[in-house]
Amino acid sequence: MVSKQSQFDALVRATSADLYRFAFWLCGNEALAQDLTQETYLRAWRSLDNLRETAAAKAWLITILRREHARLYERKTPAFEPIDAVQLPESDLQSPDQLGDDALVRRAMAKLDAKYREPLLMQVLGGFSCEEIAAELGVSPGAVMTQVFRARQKLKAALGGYGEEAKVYELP
Amino acid sequence: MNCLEFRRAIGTDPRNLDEAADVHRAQCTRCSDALQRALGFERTLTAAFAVPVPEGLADRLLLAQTTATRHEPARPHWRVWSVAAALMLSVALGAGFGWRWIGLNAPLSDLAIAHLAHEPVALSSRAIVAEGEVRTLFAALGAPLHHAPGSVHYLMNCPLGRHRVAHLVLQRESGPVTALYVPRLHEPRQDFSRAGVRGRELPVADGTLILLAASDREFDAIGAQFQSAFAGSDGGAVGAP
Repeated sequence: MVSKQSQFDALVRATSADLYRFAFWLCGNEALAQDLTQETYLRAWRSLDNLRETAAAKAWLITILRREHARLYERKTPAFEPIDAVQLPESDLQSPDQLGDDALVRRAMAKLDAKYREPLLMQVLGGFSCEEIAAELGVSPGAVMTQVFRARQKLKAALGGYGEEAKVYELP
Repeated sequence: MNCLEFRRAIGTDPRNLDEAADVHRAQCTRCSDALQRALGFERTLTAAFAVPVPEGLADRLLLAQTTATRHEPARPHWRVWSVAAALMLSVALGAGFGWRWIGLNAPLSDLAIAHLAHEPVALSSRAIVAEGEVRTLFAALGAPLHHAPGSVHYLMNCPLGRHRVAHLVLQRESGPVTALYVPRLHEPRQDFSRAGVRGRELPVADGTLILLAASDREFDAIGAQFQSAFAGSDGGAVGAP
């Protein structure tokens, strides 16, 4: 019989890196992302009996994280901040000719409007389907499909000259 | 499925294509090539989103959980109200000041509230900081204390604009009170209110004390405690919650 503490240890070690990254992109600040992650796991510990399926763990944690973020920061301010408020890693703050692909994409992502950024983040980082994202965000699956499609288009546009990949969504 | 539908599908979720898309990909070389490029871009996105994770994060999360678990049963009644007040203060801070950029030369009151908004966990800190640690930190800042200004539940040497300050949280009956002491800065006394937070700046010893809380009713008493702690008189040592 696995103890509650053992289950929680395994949960933290398996998911904390992704959850922190999700928190970072949600709030745009390393220190606050750590705080949000910690509060999320403290709440998860108190509700651990509600987690029945391993496959649902990440979605369950992200739901808690989003609520925690909303509870603290969404009442009067938008969920996402413009690029100036997102603390990108120091290595990303070099001049454009010094930047690598990852840094360029992170810059473009940080500039992406909130309604496009979060569903794309949930899909790429969280591994959610459009239906799962729709359920989490309280919108229709069709709306999510439109948002993630446009999110990719906008990233492509922002990354102009990114090579052949920029032509992915063009018809032959 | 035609080419347009296929391109829409790979633009929506290239890693989860349905059977119809698979059939079209097998029949259309250009769309098959487009899918390969789309998957390459997905790998680029995944790598870019993977910002560095703080070292030891999982261990710190587990430490916080086990520590919180050990302290949960012994919470006195007044602390429940204290936690509620801390939560309300956190919400007010987040709502009003959560994500503004504050310049280094901004008014002290703005710097203080912005700093508080970025350390919401401090407000709910429960552990009592040893008096020796309080005196050591103030001594390191060049502002030696004779004794702690009451019962301190959080202590940190923090940056505040261009200053290094002592950041303390004092848990009181009415909720947490944050105290930021700025050595060698002389500002006149003034009260302020921002984002649902009451604040006061007042000169204490060779510096400025900033107090922040949901209510200002403890400010006089805490100010006096700091005055006594610097002066070395006995009056300031009492009055802990």
